[in-house]
Amino acid sequence: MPTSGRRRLGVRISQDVWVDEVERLSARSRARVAAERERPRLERDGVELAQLLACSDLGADGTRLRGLYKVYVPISDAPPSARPFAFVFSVAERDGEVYLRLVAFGARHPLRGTRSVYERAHKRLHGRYPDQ
Amino acid sequence: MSSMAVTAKKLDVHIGDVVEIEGRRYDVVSDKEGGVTLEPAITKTVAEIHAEHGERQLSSEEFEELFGEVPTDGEG
Repeated sequence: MPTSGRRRLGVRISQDVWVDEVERLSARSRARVAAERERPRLERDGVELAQLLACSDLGADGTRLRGLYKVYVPISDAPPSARPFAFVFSVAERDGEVYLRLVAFGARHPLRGTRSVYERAHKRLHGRYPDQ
Repeated sequence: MSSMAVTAKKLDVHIGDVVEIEGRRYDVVSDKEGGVTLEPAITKTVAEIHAEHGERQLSSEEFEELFGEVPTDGEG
C-alpha cells in the first residue's frame, strides 16, 4: 500500500460481503455506482485516517456500533451532506498487521422502508436488526 | 374485465427467519407498520467474517491505542 505522507489504513473486502452489501443494489443505482467506483482505490490505497469516523456507541435509531468505523462515500473532502452513502468497517489484526475489513455499505439516510447502513452494520455485529 | 386468478402461497415464516427464493436468500423483517417484508439477507456476523479469514477483531480501545482517538459525528 503506497503512502503519501498522510497516514492510511489498508482495507480488505470479502467478495461474499461485497455481494451482500453492494451487489444487492440494482446495477445503475447511485449507491452501487458510487461503491464500485471506490473499490479499486480502497483496495489499492486503503483509507486515509483523517477520513475515518468512529461509529456511535448508541445511535438515535437504536443501533449500537461500538468498535466499528465508517467512511462516507463518495470518499472526498466534500461535506458529509454531499456524501449520502457509507462504508462501515471492523478493525482486524493478523500476523501483526492491522487493517479494516468491510462489513456494511448503504445509504446513511435511506427512504422509508429501506435499512440504513447503520442498521445493516448492527445486524452484522449483533446478529439481528435493532428493532428485532 | 376478467379477474386475476392468483393463488397465494401461504408461508409459515416469522421476523428473523431467512427464506430462499430462486436461489437468493432474504431476511424476513418488520415493515415497521405491523407487517413483514423481505430484504436481501445478511447471513454472516462480524465475528464470523473475521474468523473465516483467521484474523482477530480489534476493540476500539486497542485501535485508538495504535492510531489515536478517532472522532465521531453521533450519526450512527
